[in-house]
Amino acid sequence: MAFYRMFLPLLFIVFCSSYTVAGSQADVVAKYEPKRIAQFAKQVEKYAAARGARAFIIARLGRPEGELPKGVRYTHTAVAIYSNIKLANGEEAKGYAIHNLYQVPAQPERSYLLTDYPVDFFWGAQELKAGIVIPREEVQSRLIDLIDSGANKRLHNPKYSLISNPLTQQYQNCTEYTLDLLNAAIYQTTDLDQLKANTRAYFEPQKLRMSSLKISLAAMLRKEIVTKDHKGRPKMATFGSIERYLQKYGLVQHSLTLQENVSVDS
Amino acid sequence: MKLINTLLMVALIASPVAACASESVNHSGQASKHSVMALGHGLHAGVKVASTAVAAPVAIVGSASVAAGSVLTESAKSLSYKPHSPKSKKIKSKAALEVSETTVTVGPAPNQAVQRSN
Repeated sequence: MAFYRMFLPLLFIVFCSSYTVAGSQADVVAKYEPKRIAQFAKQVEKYAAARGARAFIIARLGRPEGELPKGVRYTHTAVAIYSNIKLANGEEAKGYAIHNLYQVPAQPERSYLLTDYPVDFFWGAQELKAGIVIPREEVQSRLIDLIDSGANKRLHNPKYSLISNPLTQQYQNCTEYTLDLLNAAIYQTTDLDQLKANTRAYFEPQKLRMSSLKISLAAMLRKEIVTKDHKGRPKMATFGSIERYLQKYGLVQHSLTLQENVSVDS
Repeated sequence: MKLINTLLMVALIASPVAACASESVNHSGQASKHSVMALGHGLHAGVKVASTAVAAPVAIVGSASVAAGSVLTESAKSLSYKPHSPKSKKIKSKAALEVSETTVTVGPAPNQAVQRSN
């Protein structure tokens, strides 16, 4: 009985608070009215376009901010590329296509790549808030070349872990994939051995500030939470750690948080 | 014992809820999103929605012709933006790019597309 008294509250805590770290679902039920989401998404596009950004890192908040571990500001990160978009009706539009790694719906321990658009990206956001890092033009051009050539697909590892170690190749989540894209663009190679060696040398991952017990229990209960690629306390790629990495090496043109703060007239 | 039972029940209920609410799982929201976007429910008349066939990156620098000032002003009206470093403020805007007013959305998953067409 004593065991249950101890274990069940822990189980409850783990279930309720351990899935807020990275995260890569293709869609969720919308919290906001479609109109607000569509307008916010378009405003984010216009803001980036006004800055001349042809490629940038974009992040969203898919969980309430208060539930995130310390040091983690967003739950999903991807790369937005300015694109000519051919529509199903034959027309063309100009805007941003977002290149994501998402979890397979029925197999959360597996992932797939999907290109979607800002309104899709923000559909399930808990706050109409976007993290944006616009890299320097050279990096933007290389990111575009990487994705346009399809070489980005060679960087995808379908073995998904919510807390994947970005310094190794064993597992990958959305943010690690974004980091791998950036490094492949920067170093102009898709050789993962080389890319990970460079990541270990220059990238400082974010330490996961969550109790070891919680992490261990979560790993026991969920296939998509894996700890065996970590030695000691898990460290992971986050939007913030990617931003700091690019800042440190002078590769940021502009970085900011965009947030809807007033009602939008129709 | 009552507490334990309650916690067990909540944990059991919370497990699928946490999975669905987390950023890691896809679920039926996909279908509802496409219904909303396709039918224009909840969208005002000015929002034109279209699903996409293919997106091709644009690799030309500074090809756009939209005036930077007007675009930026429109965005700024309803957004708060906080530069992450003081240096960011000093960086001049690059040549602005054109963004279409159409709201583009990815099409439904293949299984949903098949279901719909039946």
